[in-house]
Amino acid sequence: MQADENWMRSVLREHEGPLLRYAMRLTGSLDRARDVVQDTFVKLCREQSREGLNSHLPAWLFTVCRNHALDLLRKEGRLTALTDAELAAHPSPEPTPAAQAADREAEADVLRALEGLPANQAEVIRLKFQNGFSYREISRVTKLSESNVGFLIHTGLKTMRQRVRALDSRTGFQPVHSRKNEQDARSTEGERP
Amino acid sequence: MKIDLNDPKLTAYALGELSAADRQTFETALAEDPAARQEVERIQLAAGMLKERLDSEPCPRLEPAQRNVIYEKLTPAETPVGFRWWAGALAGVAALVLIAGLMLPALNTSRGKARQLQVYSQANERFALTAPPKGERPALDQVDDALNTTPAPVAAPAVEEPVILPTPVMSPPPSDKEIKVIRGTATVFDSKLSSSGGLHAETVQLRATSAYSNPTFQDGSGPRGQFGSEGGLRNATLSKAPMSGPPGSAGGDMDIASARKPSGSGGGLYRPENESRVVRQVPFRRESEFATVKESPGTESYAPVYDNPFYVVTDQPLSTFGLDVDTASYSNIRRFLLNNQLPPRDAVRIEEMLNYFSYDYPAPRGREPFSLYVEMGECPWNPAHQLALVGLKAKDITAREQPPLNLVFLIDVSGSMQPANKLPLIKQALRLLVPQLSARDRVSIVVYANNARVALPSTRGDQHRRILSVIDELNADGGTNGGEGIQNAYAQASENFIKGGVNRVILCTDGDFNVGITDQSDLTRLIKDKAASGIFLSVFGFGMGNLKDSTMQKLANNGNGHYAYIDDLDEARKVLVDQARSTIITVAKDVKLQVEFNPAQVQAYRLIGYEKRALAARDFNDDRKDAGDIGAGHTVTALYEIVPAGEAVGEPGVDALKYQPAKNRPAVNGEWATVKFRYKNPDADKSQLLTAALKNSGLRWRTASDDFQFAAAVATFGMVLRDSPQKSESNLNLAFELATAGRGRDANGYRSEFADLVKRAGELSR
Repeated sequence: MQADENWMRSVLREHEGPLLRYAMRLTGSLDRARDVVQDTFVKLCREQSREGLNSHLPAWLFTVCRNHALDLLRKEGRLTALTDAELAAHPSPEPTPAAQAADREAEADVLRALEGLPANQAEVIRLKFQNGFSYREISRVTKLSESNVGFLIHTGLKTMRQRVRALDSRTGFQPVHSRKNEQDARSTEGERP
Repeated sequence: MKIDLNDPKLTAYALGELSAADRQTFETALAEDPAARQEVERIQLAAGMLKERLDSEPCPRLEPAQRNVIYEKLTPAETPVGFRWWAGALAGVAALVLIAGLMLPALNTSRGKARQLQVYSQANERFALTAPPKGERPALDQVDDALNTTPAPVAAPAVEEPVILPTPVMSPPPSDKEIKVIRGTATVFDSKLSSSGGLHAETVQLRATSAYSNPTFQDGSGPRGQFGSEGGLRNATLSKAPMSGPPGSAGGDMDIASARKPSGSGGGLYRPENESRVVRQVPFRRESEFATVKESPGTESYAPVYDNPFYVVTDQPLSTFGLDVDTASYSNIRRFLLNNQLPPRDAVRIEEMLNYFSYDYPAPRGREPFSLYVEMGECPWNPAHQLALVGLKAKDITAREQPPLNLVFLIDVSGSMQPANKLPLIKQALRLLVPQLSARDRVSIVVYANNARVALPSTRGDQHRRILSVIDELNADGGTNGGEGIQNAYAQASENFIKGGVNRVILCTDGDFNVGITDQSDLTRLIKDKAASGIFLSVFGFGMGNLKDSTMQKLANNGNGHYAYIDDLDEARKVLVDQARSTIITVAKDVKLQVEFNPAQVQAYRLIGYEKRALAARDFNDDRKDAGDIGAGHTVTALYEIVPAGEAVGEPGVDALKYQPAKNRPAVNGEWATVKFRYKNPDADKSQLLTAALKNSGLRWRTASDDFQFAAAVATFGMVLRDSPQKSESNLNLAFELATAGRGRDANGYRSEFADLVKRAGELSR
């Protein structure tokens, strides 16, 4: 009993945050994300073969979470751009020339560029770079084929590099953002001794 | 073999995703293709950066209750149902015990010590007592403006030359007042009164300071002469919250703190009556607390707040203040705590924390635009005292009743707005708002950096695509000239004025007006004039690092608007979607509250928070006096801590009065106080009155309503964060307990989030 609870405590500690972050992207709200993630962990509680799960627990959690999120959206009739077919068809908002120029400004924001991608590309890119999943795991979570995942990541990353100069410096790595972050960090450190 | 740079394998290879066999083949090809090798390198660099960037995205948490549900479900399937329930409850208890353990070390030990000790020099103290030259003395009803225009230089040196002087020695003041220094802080006496023997040495007479702070010299004679003159002093009053328009505010807020310390410490800045006493030593700040002034983080600035003291009812039976629906302080505090920092104490404004949350007060009935709710019970942080809650709920407006909107977004696109939590967040926030607009509404967007420009001329609200495309193209670049932008925005609003509609300029900025017209008094006057003509201003603060909290609050207050701080998309959703109507549609303006306490029941009282909103007693019925506005569906909450009659007020108190009427008055129907509430309809000049009687329910706090408990939790948390001299037994454990007990339905999860923040503060202060 106690062992179970400790186990769950550590699982929660490790995965609760990333799952919520993911579910929020899918459902568009923290409240819904919390419901979805709670259901995900409740499902984990009922899972009998915990030992068998261990090695691919993260992918399992994300898969269940994604299914719950899509179920919820479907129930609410809000499923818009998230079915796979629609995901693929969702057009990438073509940036205007002015936006393109601005995006190439040294400090254009990476996240903004990520959000400018089609939803399916943004999702797999997050799963890859934010959650550290392999192509194969992403394929399990999203039910896309592995080669499709590879294609989406390749394309999405390329688009982002085109739009954000900081991501694609040809003269060597110019961490414009980290310089900015350092400044921010300095000023926040100064806030409180 | 040349590698196609569009081949996804390139990325897969760079990310280590190729199978062993594929990798070998690919590497062979790569060896002969420098362009592809370079491309691989770039992909890897981009991937590293992307990882770093995404890693820093915040992770939300589940609510504690949800985690408990999970633990409850954890019981093996074969366990009987009854046992399962029991185990779940145990898990919950275990979690609570754990939390309590984490929170034991309360904040109060760590805060003061960490601060730099600074007491200002004698010379600076004297500024507080030296009234401005005659020519600059403001007229009665222009105090605010005049305070803004009073040149700063006299007070400015206070910032540059702080002197470490634990016990400043004061020279005689420039009047018949006598200044004494007690325990390192300055006290101002009225020499006449103290010599007449009625007052203990620690009683503060605020005559001199209030005369300065609220310069109202009816006979036009010089301020020095007025210090002793009853006639002039009786009229010395503040037209509005003094901190929002103090002298020399353009010179920075810090000097205000020093210049005002003697007066502010008496708490009587806000009080028109000269003979009022302030009980306790409490309004005097401990030495450690002086340092607040210097601790503004980075270039953020906060106007100092001094906690209201207890007032003795026989001296000061009336408590009067303007209501406030600002919420910025709470989200700003949350930002600090989520960044693992405790907020600076002057960033903590308890009334804004209270009003961040909505409460289940009964809805107004019939045609009344408001309902008034009062509740009284045991004070959780001091069981010998009572706590009174005064709640107000404004009528909500259905979408059908909603007046047409004429919104002008004035957006700061200067260089400082680049970080993700500024302009990009504003854009996301606006994208949330746009779908709610209809054909009756109009929107324009004015942006300002080095120059102001109309990015979107007034456009019908249902042209969502057009509006969104303009939003998408906003980019941060250049310097700032907030003033010119504001003029442009008002021009847009006037040109498209909708009679009977909501005409509002919404300023989105980090508050850094750093180029061009920065004369705050000009700006303030413009905003006030426009508010009078029906165009209100809301201020949404974004970002961090150079947040000018005090400037923004002042601008919003002058524009009949409100000020919210938006730290993330959830907050944007709260302000612009969930509560859009209350944010944008004002149902009443100049909302004031006055409470008359019954001395038969109440010995002393203090208002928790609202320090900047205090009004003179007679301003309550004066419809010319400006006060806060309330939006549709809004709830507003105020708390009073009450010392019951017969209870010792405690600590270095006040001698008994010799000449006052006997205290044994009959109780009026067991009433402790009468709450009076005035408001104007948005287009009216004449105010309406609502009243309610406050009676004691005699309830322990644990049996009080959810809203009572939760409001008490917020006040407790605020007092601990402020290290308030009035906090008594307040601590984070109590705040958490109250918040948990008072969570109620909490449909939006805001109250649970609050409990999480209390917990986090506990961890930070360990």
